[in-house]
Amino acid sequence: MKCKNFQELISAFIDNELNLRETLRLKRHIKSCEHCREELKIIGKIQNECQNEGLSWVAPQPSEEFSSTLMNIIHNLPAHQKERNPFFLNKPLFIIRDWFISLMRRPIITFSLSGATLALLIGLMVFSGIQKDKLQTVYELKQKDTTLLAEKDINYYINEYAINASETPSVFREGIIESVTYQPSR
Amino acid sequence: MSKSLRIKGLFLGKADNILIEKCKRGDTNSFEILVLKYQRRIFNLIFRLTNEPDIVEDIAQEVFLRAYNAINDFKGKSSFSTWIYRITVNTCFNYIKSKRRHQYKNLETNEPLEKYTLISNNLTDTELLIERHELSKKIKEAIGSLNREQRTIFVLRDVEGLSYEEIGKILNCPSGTVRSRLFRARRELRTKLENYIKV
Repeated sequence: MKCKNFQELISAFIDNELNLRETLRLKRHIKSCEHCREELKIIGKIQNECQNEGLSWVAPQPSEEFSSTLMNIIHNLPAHQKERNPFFLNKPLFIIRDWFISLMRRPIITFSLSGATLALLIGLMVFSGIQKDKLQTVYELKQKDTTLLAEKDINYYINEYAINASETPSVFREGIIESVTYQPSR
Repeated sequence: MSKSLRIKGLFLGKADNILIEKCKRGDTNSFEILVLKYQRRIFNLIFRLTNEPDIVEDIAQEVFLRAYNAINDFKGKSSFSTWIYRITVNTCFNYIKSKRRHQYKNLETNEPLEKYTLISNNLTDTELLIERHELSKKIKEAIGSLNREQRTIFVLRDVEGLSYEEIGKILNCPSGTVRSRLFRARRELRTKLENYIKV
């Protein structure tokens, strides 16, 4: 490893930020390399002087009125900026929010949830469509011949034909009318 | 010191997390205690990043107002000091950007060094004092010539004494990046100062 590769290690070594392996590697190299030994001394000295110089930069003291002026500003903030959630809502709301955000960060979960929601919506639409057809059929049948169709007959045949829900609504309707016409009431 | 400040001083020892939880519930007194606790450090950091004593208080006020508005977003994953240092650094960066300054201000002024408080000033020999003054000026120029990121990392590491990990959290970069930027900053300082500093 060339000396220039150790330069950055020397800088981090001065800050005590090397791991054990890097420290041992650097120490082993420095034992045999005078150039890097000198480099360590120079960098160390410059860092020390710059640090002393930086530490001498001390800001003017905060005035006694600084905190009271700041708190006056805070007390006069508009209400929506001062608003904080009541304690009993604070933690649960944040927990739920953070859980939801962490969940949405995983693409697989987001995709699965979206797919499941979509499938559920489509299922509900189809189911409600079938239910609508069933209701329409019962209504039409009732309008057709009220003497012939007793409520229990209608329910009986709808339940029987409901097993074959995959049939089209027109077939479903025709099946009901045909059955009611040729079957006596029970 | 006023009586109220002395009383509040008794509470400065309270753990930050307790004060922050109270702030989140709307207790402004707890926030004031946090302000009293951190104002000195924030003032120093702002001054070291901008070198403008006149605007330190204004920027500090903005920093604490931002902290107050964002206190509910503080999750406690890092220490409060790291979090507020991050706000301070970003606020200073915004100030510097808005003023379009990239160089260390007041480098070329003839303001006497006494304007900036010197912590150690025990030299009695005149020649050494003059030499020290010149060296200090050179060091200030060299630090001023660093770019914004390098100077910030230099201040946070060598002056504030933060670890690479803490600096990385403040600047939102990996500690490896902090290490390499600091190395480049020191390499530049070395180039400018090796003729002035005796080893």
